[in-house]
Amino acid sequence: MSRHLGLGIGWRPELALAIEQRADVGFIELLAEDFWSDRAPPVAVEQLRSRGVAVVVHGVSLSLGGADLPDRDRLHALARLARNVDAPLVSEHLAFVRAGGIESGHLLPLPRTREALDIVVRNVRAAQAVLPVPLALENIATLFEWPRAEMSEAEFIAEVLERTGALLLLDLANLHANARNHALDPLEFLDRIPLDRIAYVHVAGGFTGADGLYHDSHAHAVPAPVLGLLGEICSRTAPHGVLIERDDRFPLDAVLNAELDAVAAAMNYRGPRRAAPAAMLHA
Amino acid sequence: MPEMSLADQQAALVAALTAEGPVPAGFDPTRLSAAADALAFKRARSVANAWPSLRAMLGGDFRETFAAYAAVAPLPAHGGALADGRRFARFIARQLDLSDDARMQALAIDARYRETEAGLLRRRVPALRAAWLRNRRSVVLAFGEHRYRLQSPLRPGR
Repeated sequence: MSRHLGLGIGWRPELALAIEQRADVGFIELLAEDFWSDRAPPVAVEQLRSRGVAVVVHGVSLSLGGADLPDRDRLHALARLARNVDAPLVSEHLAFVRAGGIESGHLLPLPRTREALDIVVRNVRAAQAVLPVPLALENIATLFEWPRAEMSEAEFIAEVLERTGALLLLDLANLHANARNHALDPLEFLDRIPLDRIAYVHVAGGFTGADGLYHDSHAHAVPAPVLGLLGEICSRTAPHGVLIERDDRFPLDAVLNAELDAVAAAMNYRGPRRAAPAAMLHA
Repeated sequence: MPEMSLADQQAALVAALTAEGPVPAGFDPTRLSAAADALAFKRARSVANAWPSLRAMLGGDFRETFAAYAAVAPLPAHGGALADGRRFARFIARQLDLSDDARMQALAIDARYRETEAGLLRRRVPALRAAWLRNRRSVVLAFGEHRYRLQSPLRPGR
């Protein structure tokens, strides 16, 4: 039901060279908000595309969990970008980012109630009606929870997927962060989500702050427990793709390559699945 | 407590996280405070990354100056850290002379984006904008991606 993607990394200008030099990268994510007012994606991204690398459009500001319907302009910008880069998927978060006219600048959790569930389902359907490709929804990390939850996060996610037909972008770093910060069992979460709906998987780094909480920073190495969860999910199913997110404190190429190698090893990945050009077969 | 709509509950939560609004009933105040700190840190860090000229100009005062700005200026809806930084530059310029590098960065943004209440919007037609660079004693004109420098014939000093 979903396309094979392989080993992936979130494309950032600071990583462009390292990504270009890595022949086994099968897909990248493009941060939608950084590029949707541009006439064309960056040249380096076009070069990757010509090599057969798939480009998933990843949004952070649609606010699918907001009380209002998703903003038409943002939705159409996402759709336009997805067409421009021939994206197999668009991904967004099960979160809200603004309310009462204020931008939070971050992904905020939803109350896990029937009322919120109905609103998310309505918003996801509105987004699906505009997007030209399947939509994958990502579980977020949160430092706090809403009171009076009527269901677990896994149950909430499973029901949204069931009612909308959306795919899941399973973020293992976020799962680890929530498990740590809310004393939950991440394996129980994995038991309850529909594995056959996973479009691809995210991994990323974080750190434990002075407040004792685990912060999903995307600015540190992918920690062992997150790689452990990746091994766990790969033992239960073969994800179509696994992508590393790194947004800040960019590492040396060698460090990044070691992380990509560790991810490739966990998913038993042997390079992108695409036809070799004829010239290469005769070389 | 009367039932609040989801919209009102979300608005109260965002106010608590970004504008020192009261902690909504039932939430853990310690955790909300940690989340508010994380949001503030992320916002400042994003602007520092998007506006290296302002980071270089303010040096060790960046965080404190940015916090003073963020306390009175909500995050723009469009343009992300670029837009936030453009407003921050105006905030700084009321008290300090912007460095030549910061003026050049602001000039580059102004030639390509329109500044609105909602943030930065890309111009359909590039605009002509000018900046006076004091240390380089020149005026730089920007038109879209193009730059023209007019050097002052007057020499600095005597």
